[in-house]
Amino acid sequence: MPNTGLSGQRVVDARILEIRGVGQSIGPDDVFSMRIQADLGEWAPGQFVMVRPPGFGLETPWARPFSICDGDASEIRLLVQAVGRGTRELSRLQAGARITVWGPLGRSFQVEDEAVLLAGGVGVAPFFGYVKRHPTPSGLRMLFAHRPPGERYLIDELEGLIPVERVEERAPSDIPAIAERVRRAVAEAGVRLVLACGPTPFLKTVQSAALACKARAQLSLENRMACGVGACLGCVVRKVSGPPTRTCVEGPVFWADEVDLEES
Amino acid sequence: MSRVSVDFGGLQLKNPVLTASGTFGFGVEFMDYGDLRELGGLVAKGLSLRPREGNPSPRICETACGMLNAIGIQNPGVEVFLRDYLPRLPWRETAVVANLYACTVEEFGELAALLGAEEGVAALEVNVSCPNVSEGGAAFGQDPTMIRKVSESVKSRAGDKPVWVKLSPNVSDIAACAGAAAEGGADAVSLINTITGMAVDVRTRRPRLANVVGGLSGPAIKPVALRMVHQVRQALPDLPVVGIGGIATCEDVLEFILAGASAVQVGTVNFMRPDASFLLARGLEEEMDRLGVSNLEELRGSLRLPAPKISRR
Repeated sequence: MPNTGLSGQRVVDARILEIRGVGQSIGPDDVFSMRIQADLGEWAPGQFVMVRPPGFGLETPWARPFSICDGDASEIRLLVQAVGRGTRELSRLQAGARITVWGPLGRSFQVEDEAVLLAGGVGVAPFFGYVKRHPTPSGLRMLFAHRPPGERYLIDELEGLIPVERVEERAPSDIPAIAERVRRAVAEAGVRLVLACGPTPFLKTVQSAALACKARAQLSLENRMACGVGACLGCVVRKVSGPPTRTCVEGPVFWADEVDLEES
Repeated sequence: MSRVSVDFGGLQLKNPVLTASGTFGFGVEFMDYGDLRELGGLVAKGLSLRPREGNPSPRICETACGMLNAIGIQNPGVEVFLRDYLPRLPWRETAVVANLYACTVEEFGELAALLGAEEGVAALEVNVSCPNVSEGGAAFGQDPTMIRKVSESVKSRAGDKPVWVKLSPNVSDIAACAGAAAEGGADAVSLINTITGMAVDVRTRRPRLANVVGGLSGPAIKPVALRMVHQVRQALPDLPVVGIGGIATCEDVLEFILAGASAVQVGTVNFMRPDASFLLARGLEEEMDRLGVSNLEELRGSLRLPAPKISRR
């Protein structure tokens, strides 16, 4: 196909190699992992792909954005939580099914020798690639906040590589204590880089803590997106200065002091 | 002339597939996904005289067979487009249509003068969906008198560029609006813009868009768009129509041409996969072969309508 190619991204009609819930069949709200055979070329942790079943969906016209969890140039793995129509539709696909993918998209996490990784739930996904590709993983540690069971997030894979502290949200009443633990982790980071990915309330906690103690922190946002390529202007986030900016192109990874998450 | 080229309103296009304003950025966003020169043309994101920040978020919402949007014409302003984006587009080889957004007749004229003077701009498309600030905020696009005045203002300042007026479907008589545009000197009408709609979240009891209401687009609106193209064609057979609304396949393109459109614009489907417009431009001839269509001129407006009923006593 003719391509004026800035960086060689294109739409790939790919194939699912494996799809599975972790230790069980995939039910509502469950997390599943999906391995996709797709030649996406080079990508960096924090970047994402748009994924959809082939054709133009009726109930779910849009593709869905997912951080690349890990993989290589010919195969990627995604970690997905079935929370809505689109993700549930994907969860029903089987190994061997065709799937439409475009990417890698967006900006990746900064790589530094030492970093504190803050993950909320399925937001742990991009950190698999970050840890596995990191030149000095001994400089990394993670705080992982999640609903039980932690196993469904494949966290044991990471626990074998870096120190992971888990905090569980068994009930909504646990949230204030988790937030407090997250704030302390940011404060204790000192000069180390803080990287966060998780639900928006989690990111807001990290952001306010980072601004309070002047920590250097990057947040990976998960705004609603239609196109993923910078055209629809649906995923914009307010910036501290200047016009709203696109999460898909200028993000999804932003410095904590450059974005205003009020509308997110 | 190839079998897919089209010629209307003073403009010749290599094929009838354009991209709709607001769904294709300034074109540069899609250069990774196809060769812009394959398209009949691209209609750039709506431009205003000064930069606009657009509406608060959430701005978009997925719906059955489509989506709602209330972006609010976020754009960096006409000067940034002319300086930073237009020079990057292959405008000698594919038509670049500028889309104009303003809230007074005078501002429309100013925009037309700026864009009409640009060699790289093939045509001007006027978005009349904005609130008419000087007349108290009612939408321009729902008042034939205002449509005529805006069309006159743009046409008189656009130099030799063709002017298309993009009509709102949120009216009771689309043919009257098209007629007003033609009276004002429009070379073509583009229809339809989005249909006003709304979505609510029963769990939070809030509207799903921060703007409360938005514009519905996508395959859901195709039947409405086809109906309006047909009505305008019937009422004003000499006014070229650019058909827009839910086009997702080559067959859809041919349906609009059959109903009387001279060309079409592909919109929401660009979001559903970023190479969609390229696939449609590329696949059109094959689809024509499959359906036994020799050329588009032969197909245009050849809809077989039932014979009018003669009442008998």
